[in-house]
Amino acid sequence: MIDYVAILMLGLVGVAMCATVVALSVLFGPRNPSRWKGTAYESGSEPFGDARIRLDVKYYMIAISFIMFDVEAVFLLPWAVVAKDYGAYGFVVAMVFVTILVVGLVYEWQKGGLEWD
Amino acid sequence: MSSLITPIDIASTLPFIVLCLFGMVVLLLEVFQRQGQSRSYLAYVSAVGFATAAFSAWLLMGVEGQLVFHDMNYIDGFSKVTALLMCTAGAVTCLIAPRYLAELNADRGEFYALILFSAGGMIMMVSAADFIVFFMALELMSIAVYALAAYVRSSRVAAEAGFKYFLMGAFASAIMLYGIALVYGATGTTNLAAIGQLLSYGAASGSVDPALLLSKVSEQGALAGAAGYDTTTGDLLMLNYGSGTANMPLLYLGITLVIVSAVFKVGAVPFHMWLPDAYSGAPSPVGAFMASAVKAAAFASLLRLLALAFFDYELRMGPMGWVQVTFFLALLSMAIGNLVAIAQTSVKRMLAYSSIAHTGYMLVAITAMGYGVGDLDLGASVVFYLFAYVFGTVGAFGILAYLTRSRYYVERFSDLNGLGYRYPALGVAMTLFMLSSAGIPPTAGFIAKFQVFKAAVIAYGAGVEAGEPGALLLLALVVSGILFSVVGVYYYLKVIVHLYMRDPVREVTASDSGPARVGISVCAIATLVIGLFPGPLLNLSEQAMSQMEGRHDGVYVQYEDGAPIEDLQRLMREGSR
Repeated sequence: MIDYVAILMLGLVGVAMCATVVALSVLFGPRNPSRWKGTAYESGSEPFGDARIRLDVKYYMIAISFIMFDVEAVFLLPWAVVAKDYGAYGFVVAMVFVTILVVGLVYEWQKGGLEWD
Repeated sequence: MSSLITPIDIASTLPFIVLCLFGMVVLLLEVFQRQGQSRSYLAYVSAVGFATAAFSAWLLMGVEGQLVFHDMNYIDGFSKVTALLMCTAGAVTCLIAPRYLAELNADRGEFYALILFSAGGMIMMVSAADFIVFFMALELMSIAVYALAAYVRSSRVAAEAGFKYFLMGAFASAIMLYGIALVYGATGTTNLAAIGQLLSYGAASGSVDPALLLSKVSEQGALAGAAGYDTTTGDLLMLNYGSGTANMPLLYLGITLVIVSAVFKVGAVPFHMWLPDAYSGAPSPVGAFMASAVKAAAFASLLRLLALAFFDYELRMGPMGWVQVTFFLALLSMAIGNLVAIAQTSVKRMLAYSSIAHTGYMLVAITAMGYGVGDLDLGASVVFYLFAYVFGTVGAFGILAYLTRSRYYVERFSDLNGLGYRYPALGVAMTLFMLSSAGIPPTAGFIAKFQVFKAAVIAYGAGVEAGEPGALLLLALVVSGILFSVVGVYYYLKVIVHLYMRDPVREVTASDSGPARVGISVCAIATLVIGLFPGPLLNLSEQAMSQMEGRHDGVYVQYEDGAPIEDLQRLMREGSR
């Protein structure tokens, strides 16, 4: 339980600091509201349109491919570090894993998932 | 080296491995084939895959029940029997699918691959010995089915079904994960059997030294490494269960979340909202798969979870015990499922609500299993019910798929008018499925309902003998169950009335698909044969339950001289009074 006190303190101090800064600027800051200051600010230009637009399905294909290689790297890197210790057994296990991923890659490739147009 | 995978590990997961291999082969066959060619043969490939998996499960029947893969999986009677069930459901689904998919212009091989992967996930799920494996398998099963529900891309209804199912399923998974995290927080282990044992020991540990108990646990088998204690220091990781105050709410909350998520998957009222839309919106073969295999897997894994981890007396029968939860879930599911099914005009939606009602009947047996002193053998009635239910449901959905032609779905009751004369065999089969669902002899459904209610009456008798509170309520549950199944007869017979006693309103021509005919025949014959000769299947389901490894029956600890310690369950019950 005592371990969590530090986290609690951190949270409290953080909230307190934010509150202090905001309170100070409210109390002492100059205030000259105008119409233009009241508009929403989006990278310097007027916001327009709806944020909910349709994205091309191609982006999702790329995302899926990314995940495939991402997961592969996540599991193969730790294996590579200790590959010597694990010897042939580790190699076979890693290859089984890679084979399964390769089936997925072959499937995606053949389906045209890697073509942009 | 202890990290090596042993041959028994591979052998025991053979059904899973076979299904995944076939899934990958089907995927590759699909992409290396030219577009526009028929993919119907993949149905046979998948059926062979399921047959191989079922055969390997059958071969494993002789293998003694044990923990494999470093205490992560079980190979036992329960996992083998349920694997047979999943494989049957999957194979029949694959057989009824090809013509239907071709009619709807959705003849793609991914369908079969997804079915195979999903069934693999189910088999893994019911054999899981650890929450982590359980959750991963659950996701493997679910994600494939989400995609399957929206499989017919041109259909708006299917897209809606898929999306609803996905959202609800994702929520249920998140709830499950949160529950698992809380249970882990309260017990310090994710191993199901270890959770169950630690909870019981903890409850009685007012007078017993935990370290001694854990040394006893390790003598019980391979659980030593998985049990919730630090192997280097020997410290018990579990927060004091019996005496503790802080972790008990945590544990109850965790168990509740896990059970809620599980009944979400089986579609018990009040967690059933997604079910009618998902079942009726999805393509008929997918509806068949969801209603049969997915539900069976969810029920089987619920049985496993309850039997292994949460069978402690206090957790079942205590003031916040889960028996009360399943009691009300059963009652509500039977009531809402049966009553709302009456009002349906679509056969598919009627089947969906009837599936909710069946969930209720099976929950009656689960309530009976957990009631009083607790008798896990009563769970066998659920296993038997699942077999009867799977054949009836897949068959009924299969007939709807068989009748569906391109652009015209056969869904309404009136679509079936007069078909009993036009297609005599089909009419007989549908009649059988409806009689079985209604629980009328000589079909499988009758024996199944009988078993379920018998289990509840047995539990009632045992409860009265032991002086448990509320035994009469269990009897009331049985009576209401029987009354509600009488209500159910109305809408099942309505199908038969439309088949034989109404004039056709429009021309319906069956798709005349060979494999579908095989699949439906298998279901019809099984429904009838199980109804006439239930003996072998009853034995099989009893075997499944009695050979469930790691199940928590209350007595584990043996003294040095071999005499068993006093029944912990009774000890706790007396303590709680």
